[in-house]
Amino acid sequence: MYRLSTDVGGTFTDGVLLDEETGQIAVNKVSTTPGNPAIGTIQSIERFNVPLGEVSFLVHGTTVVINALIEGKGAKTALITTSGFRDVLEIGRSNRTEMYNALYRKPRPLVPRYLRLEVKERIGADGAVLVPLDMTGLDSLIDYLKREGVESIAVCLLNAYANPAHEEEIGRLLRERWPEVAISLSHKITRRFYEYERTSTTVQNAYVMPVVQRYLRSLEEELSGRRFESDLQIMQSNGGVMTSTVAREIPIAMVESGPAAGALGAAQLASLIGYENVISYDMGGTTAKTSIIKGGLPETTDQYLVEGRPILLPVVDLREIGAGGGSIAWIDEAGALHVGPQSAGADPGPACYMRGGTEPTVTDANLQLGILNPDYFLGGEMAISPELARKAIAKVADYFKLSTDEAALGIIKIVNTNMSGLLQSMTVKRGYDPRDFALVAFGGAGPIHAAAIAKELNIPTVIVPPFPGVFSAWGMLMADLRHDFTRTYIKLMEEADLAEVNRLFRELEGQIRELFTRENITEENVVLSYALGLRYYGQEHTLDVPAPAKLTAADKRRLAQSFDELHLRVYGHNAPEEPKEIVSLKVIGLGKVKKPTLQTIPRGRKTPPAEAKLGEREVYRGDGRYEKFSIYRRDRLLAGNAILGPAIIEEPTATTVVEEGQHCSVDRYGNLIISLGLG
Amino acid sequence: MKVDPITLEVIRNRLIAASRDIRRTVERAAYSPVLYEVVDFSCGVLDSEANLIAETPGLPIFLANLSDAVTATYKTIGRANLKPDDVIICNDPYNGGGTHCPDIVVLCPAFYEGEIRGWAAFRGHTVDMGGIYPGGWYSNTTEIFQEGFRLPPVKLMVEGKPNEDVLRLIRANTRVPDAVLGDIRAMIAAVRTGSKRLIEIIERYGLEVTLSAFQEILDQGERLSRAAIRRIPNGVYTAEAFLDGDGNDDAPLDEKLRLKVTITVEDETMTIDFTGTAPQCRGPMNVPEPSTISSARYGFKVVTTPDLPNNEGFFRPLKIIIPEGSLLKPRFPAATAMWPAPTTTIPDLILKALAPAIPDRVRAGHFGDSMADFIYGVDPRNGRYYVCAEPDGGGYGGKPFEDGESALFSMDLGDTYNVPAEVAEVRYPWRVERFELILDSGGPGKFRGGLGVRRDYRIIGHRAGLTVTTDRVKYTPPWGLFGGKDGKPNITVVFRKDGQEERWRKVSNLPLEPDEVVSFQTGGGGGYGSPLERDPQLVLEDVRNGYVSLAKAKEDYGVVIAGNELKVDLKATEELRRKMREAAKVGEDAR
Repeated sequence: MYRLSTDVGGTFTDGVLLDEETGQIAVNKVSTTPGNPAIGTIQSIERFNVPLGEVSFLVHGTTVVINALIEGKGAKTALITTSGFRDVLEIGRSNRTEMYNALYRKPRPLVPRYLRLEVKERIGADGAVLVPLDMTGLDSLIDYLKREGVESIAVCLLNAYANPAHEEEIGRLLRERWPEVAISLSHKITRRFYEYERTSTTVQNAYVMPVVQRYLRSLEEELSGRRFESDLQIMQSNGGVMTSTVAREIPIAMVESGPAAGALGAAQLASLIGYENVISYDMGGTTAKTSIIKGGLPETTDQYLVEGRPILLPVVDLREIGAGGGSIAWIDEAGALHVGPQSAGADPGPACYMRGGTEPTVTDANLQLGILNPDYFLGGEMAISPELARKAIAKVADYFKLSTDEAALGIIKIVNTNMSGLLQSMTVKRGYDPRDFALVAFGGAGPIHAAAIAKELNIPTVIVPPFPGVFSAWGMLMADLRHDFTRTYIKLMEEADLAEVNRLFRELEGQIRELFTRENITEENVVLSYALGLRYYGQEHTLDVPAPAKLTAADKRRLAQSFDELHLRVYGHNAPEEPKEIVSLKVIGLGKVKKPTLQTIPRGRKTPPAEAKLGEREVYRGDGRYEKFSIYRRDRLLAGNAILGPAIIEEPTATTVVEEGQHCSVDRYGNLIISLGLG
Repeated sequence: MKVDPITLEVIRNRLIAASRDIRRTVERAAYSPVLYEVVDFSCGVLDSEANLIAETPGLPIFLANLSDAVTATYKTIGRANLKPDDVIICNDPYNGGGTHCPDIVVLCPAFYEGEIRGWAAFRGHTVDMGGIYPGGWYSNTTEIFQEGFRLPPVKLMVEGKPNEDVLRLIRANTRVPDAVLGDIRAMIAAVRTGSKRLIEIIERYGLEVTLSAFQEILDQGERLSRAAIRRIPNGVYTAEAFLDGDGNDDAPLDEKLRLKVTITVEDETMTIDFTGTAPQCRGPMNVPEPSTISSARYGFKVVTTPDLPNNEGFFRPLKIIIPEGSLLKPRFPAATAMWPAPTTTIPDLILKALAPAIPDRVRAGHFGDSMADFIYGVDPRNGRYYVCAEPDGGGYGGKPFEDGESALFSMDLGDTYNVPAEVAEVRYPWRVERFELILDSGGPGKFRGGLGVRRDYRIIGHRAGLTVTTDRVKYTPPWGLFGGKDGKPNITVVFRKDGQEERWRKVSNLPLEPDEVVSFQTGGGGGYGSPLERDPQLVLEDVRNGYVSLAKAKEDYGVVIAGNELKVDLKATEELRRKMREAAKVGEDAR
């Protein structure tokens, strides 16, 4: 049997196939088909030329949700709210993110005011029904929305997180009288407080739901036409997968699927080869994305913004800056040199791509310096022009009266500082020391810059996985099913009723198990973990403290103590004498999928085989100094080979740089492990 | 020696990272959430001569205050008396603080080869620094001595050792010593980190290169700023507005305070002159000079280089004139607790003054007050005392190409967040009855002003106290531009149990009985361009969306909408608009 994944990106759709018997891996890249991404997906799958009946696990990561949100191409959506609160979606949190911009523009509500309807009802913060639900006007409401051409309805009532009875009732009545309409009830997506964020999440879910349903239907028809019989798995933002059946109901959970898969891949790879703590570093054409993996799991955050609109669901905590191979070097009005965030993207791309780009980019600089091999770009499939790169960089060189090489090196120095700044701020913020981490570098451009950035931050080890250009798709193959459920429950720790907490935990568990049953995950493969979101009374932010499945009186003190310790680590101080407050109860459910055995590569001696070494290339190092770098072909390296920097290791979709004094070894899976020798 | 462009950019990025690290350290270590939740702070690195080199955006209205703290430190302690690893603190509005007493500045010099080469500084709001009531926000003080404990620049740490004497003084003068000292410790850690980062940069790139990078960063800022001023036509531009004043409604102090600004643009320089502004007032609405400079710089920034980071160089081509003894440069010991009120209007006035010069880069007036309110009492659910302090968002003016924004915090605030109804109901013994946009509050215009917000709280099961400091109600509503009409002004309304409706602007400690409702109603933005030029279809959409009533569509916009299906009667509209234009012309001629 086989496992197969496809990851749709802006430019390319990546595919990875794994033979479960041999552990052998095949990869491909096809052009994304923006009109209907299902076409590119099927092309990628067909290229592997395996019978789909023999594919047991098929994972798909798609940009269909994020694109619908960014391009504003979702369904016509209505919103039902508690009376007095239909403007919550438009008022938002009243913050101004661009404070010097006189013409600042807030994110626009996805539902116009005339489609935001109020119902008479009211639930209290404690869940009590203060005003019973009055649905006498329902039929005329449905008529109105039908007349307006509404396809999807979001329902978000005040305090529904504490008691969803009224939302459930509205859902039931709507389904009964208007079965065709798509319905999103806020409490089904999240049971956390903060009405703007929950409304925004529910509305975005409703907005993309019809689009996703159409997309999945068309993809599944194609697949079943090719005799695919298993469940289609969809990559989620939280680093797990879900079946397409569940994805149809909570499509908003897949908004960041691609980047999350990269972080998940880094986590899986790191665990496999014995690293607990890593920083994932994914640099492509436009951006660099990074996330922290601690104890084998990517760190997640409870909230995320897309186009300024919040989504209240767990998402792998990714930080991103506009620094990629296509990032443009430019000179401002005062004569200062900057790199990015503007990018030449895939079209026209860097000047050296010969597609009409004339601005100097990071890729042009790498070519000029001798890092990139003009004869082996995409394995020699794509011609690139050193002459056009030189011409583009000459713009910078001439302005500052520098040599072209010096200008190119400057561009690289600047982009490296931008990226090391990003990584540093991520670790400083969490109270981590970069020296305790390894850097997993992937994406087309990641392995070029990783060693220099690691050096800057004193990160001792860099890991470059095989096929770094399709690493996110590889990560998807390693995913488990995952569902996170959080419930707002606010009580002082000492006053918390443990029977109530345990009852709520069982409720959350029940929701997770119900989903897993529908997803054909058997009981023995369900792994649940529990946490309390705690804070000191009076604080705003909470920290998650792992909890047992069933709390006893003795746990209260123990959890309080763990919270004090965690607070000290994360914030540098604590206040054990202060009362603690529970804010949320969380259950994370993993539906474990059997992990494949990966193929190992043949073992060699310490010295790489002669055919692996292609020769030497001069690379500009600054101050008029050129250095000879040994050049290797990655696919000819053997396990146990050791390479001393300066060296460049080439493969079709990526180039790895090993700097002077650094030491690179090849492990049994073919990973390049660069040791910086930092003692 | 001149720094090369690449090293310059690398150092620039490292300086920005250093100021970001200052912020992150505070976020991590601060005790009270007000600092990072409300983003009530600013931080940055400065050179030895108090020029801001790099900052992390915080509250825009603190733009000049870090430099002032460094200058005050030199003046008060003396440059020669500063040593490596000293940490300085100040909050005196008249000496280094520059705002009101709860705002403190903590700063740390960066020494290299025995001399001060730069500074790392953090300014933030503390929960309490003494004063007549908790919190430091008063509408009825008459001198600074009533407003809290004042620290001129003093050493909080002496060569790396805590100055216990100063810490004891602070502890004795605040109502919440643990929280305040906790925050101060976080600030100390932050500025020491910033100072260390500065020294690391010097060590890595060399003193000469780093100092020349500082100069070049400032020079480049200046060049960018000059180029931006050049894009504003030369001329003299003025605008004025009246604040309601600093008095309680029940016991007025000084009412009707004039703010006047005259802006002279001459090629590459700009002068902002506040001559003509009211004299300092008896109450607490006086603005210490550094904060006036900040708010002038804020307005300047908005019209010149809003997308670029800040440093002192950007402000070199800007001259600011503030009359001595005025509301904007009061003499000691005038009270300053409510200093933000005028600073909310100043940057907006700068936009108004320059509107004829750069009509496509400004918007009409915004609601002009933070709408801060304070409700307090004993929560009947648990017997605990609570205080809620929050601002509210309102409407911004119409823009040259689209309608104004609804429900945003006022200009003096930055990236601040409101308190959600669901959070309020957990935290406080109230019921939020509504949180909605106010019909017809946006000033009519070709591009309509944004809408104000109404937020109603019902007090449940206890007696509560209310303090509000609502301004910009009586004299200057949110103004329209180029024929656009004014927006509806701010107001606070209390609905009593006996059916009485009380309208308040400023009031301290007003009792609210159980089941009574307080309604905060923020103003809408002014309109941009004549409402008679607004596309009738947009007016129809506004009516359908309930932003504009049918009656106002006709009265203000001259748009006749008829039928159950709501359609524009184009012919009737044309006729009505023609009549309205004529009537307006007759009115003008008569004047």
